[in-house]
Amino acid sequence: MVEYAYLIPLLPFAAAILIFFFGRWLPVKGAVLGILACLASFGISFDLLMQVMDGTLKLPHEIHYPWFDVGLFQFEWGVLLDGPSLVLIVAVSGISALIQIYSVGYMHDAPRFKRFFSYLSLFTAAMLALVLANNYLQFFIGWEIMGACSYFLISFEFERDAAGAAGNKAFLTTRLGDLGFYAGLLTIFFVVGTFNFTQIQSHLHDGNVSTHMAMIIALLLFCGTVGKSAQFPLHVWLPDAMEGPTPVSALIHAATMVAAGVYLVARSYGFFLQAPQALEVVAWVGGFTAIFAATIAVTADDVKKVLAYSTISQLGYMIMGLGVGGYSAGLFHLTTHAAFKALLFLGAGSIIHAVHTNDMWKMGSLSKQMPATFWTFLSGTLSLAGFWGTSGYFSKEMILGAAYSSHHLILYVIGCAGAFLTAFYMTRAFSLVFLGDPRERDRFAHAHESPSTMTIPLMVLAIPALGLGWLMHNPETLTRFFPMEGLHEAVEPAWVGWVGLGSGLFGILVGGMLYLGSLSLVDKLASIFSPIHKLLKNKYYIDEIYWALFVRPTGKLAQALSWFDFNVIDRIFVDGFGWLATLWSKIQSWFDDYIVDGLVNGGGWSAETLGAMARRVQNGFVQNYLFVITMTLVLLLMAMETFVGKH
Amino acid sequence: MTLSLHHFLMLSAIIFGIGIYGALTRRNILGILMSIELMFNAANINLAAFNHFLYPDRVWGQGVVIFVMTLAAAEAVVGLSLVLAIYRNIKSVYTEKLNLLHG
Repeated sequence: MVEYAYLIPLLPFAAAILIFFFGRWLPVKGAVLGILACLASFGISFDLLMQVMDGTLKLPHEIHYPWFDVGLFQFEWGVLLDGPSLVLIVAVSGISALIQIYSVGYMHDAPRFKRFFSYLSLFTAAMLALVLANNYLQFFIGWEIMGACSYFLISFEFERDAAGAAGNKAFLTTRLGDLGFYAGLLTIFFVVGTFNFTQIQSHLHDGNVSTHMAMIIALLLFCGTVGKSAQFPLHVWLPDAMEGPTPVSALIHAATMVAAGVYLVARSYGFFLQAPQALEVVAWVGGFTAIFAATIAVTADDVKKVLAYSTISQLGYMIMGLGVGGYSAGLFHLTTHAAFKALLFLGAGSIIHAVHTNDMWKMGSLSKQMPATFWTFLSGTLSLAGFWGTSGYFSKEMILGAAYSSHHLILYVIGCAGAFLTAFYMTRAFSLVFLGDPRERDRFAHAHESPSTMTIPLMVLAIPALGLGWLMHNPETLTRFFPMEGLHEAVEPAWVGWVGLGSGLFGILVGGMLYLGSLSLVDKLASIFSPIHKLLKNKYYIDEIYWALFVRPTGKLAQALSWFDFNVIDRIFVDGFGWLATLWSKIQSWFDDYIVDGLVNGGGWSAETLGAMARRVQNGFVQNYLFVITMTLVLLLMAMETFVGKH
Repeated sequence: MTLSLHHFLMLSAIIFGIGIYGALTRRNILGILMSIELMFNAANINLAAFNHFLYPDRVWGQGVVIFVMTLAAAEAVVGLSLVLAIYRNIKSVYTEKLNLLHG
């Protein structure tokens, strides 16, 4: 079975192409094809997982296929099956299949239905190809195709200007990070001479890469992560990406694509281990992003924005986990987060589908109307808040434990504060949406449970959101799936985990107290802390700062260049050359008219004149001819007499 | 005064000149034909005179003269029939009407 692993990305890719060109004639406009391809990929992935579990397949397993040669370098594509990639292909294909099933219900009356499914399939194929890649080149190709799909899908409803602008913003912002990633790739090839992960790992193991070089490469690659995984300071695109349809937010901008950045750090972990300072940068960027985004999520009104900032924050956790040496913790959180964040987004989509608004202040008391969404959203919320026993609890505790045991005390405190904030804003969102009194009677009255194509994926996703932690949290399973040599995960004292859990529970408690009671207390608190509230509400004015620092100067520069183009290039060069050419052609035309034509006409004229003279002789009178002949004869004879006959 | 070759040549030149003049100036085709006959005869006189004075015991020149006279007779027949044909075509025997060859 493992030799068919290449089919895992190939099937969704084929589905994407078939849907794009022939979707019109396929059942449910091709959506069925995309779902089946994804399920097939999931089947293969799950079978591989089972083989690994019962020991018939040894990890890591690498398969090479030749690709192309450049001079002496042979490039290959291939499949690298190891713990992280195996776990992620199961997660990605499974979540993608569920989200596509969900989208059949969610998008049923949307325009460009088949194109949507084609993009989803293409995205899934790219993500699976990236996860399974055995070299950086294939990884990069998957990475960029995902970026393009993300762009297409964010601006899917391009009739709205905001969607188009958000797509541009996402594409350009991630591009900034990709620039670093690309430079990192070039540096890797320059320093190590290969893109293959296994070969790079053995080169690192043999000490062929200096610490200095490893740090440069690690930091450049991390630029890609900062862009793709929306870390500070390139996080600005992810909240705007919520302009895309909600299933897209769930699949791409929460569960899978944004995790690719974390996965990149995990794949390049050898470089980071060689350069501890780079790892330190990773840890601090992650930690800062985790708390920074969590504070913004506290004041967001849009349910999708809450989840978006929460995603940024959780990605920060993962990256912090990797940065403090918690390799397995970071990847574990990546896996659990994929499950519960996909669930939360799909739940939010179900809510939006019912009440036709994103604003949480216009919802309330929806628990009775939408029981399936209510219970599944609750399990997602508990998991994200780190409630005891949910999968989010286990993975988050592990990250906090890794931070503590690696003596990053400040990061540990930040992590606990973030856990408190996470629990708080999720409780806030949950209370505002599902509990309390309905704030808008009309919407409340018309709200109804979503169709079963939407609720069934929710229920399926609730299972890993609650149970995945129990399956994976014991150290043997984790080191089996996420092994990393040269890394000893220390055991931290038990109270470290309890503090994390306590801050989560405290967050739930505070959130419940504030938002389940009368909301006047909330308003009072907001007015007391109005400067802070305003700062958070405006997302620390980051967008405004970027606007003033980068976007506006760029616009001004473009205007100046346009003016230069118009007045200097166009006027002087283009128009000037045009004028010169006209002048030159006028001279040539004059020359043509008078000299060339003059010669031609002169030839004609002289022939005509000579003819006119000659025709006088040819007047038709025989006697004239005879006269001419006689005279000529006489003249000739005289000439002969004069010049010849003198002897 | 005895007749010498010069006298004959003078006579022949005069007759030839008259013939040329007539051929160039006569408007009547018949006149032109007659002028041509004059030029023939001028040539004949030359031939006979040269033969008589240079080779008195031979008659080659006279023989050629006989040939020329025969030829002239034939030419006159052709010429007159041409004149008749022209007259039938343009109802005239004057050369100023005959300019069909003009360029």
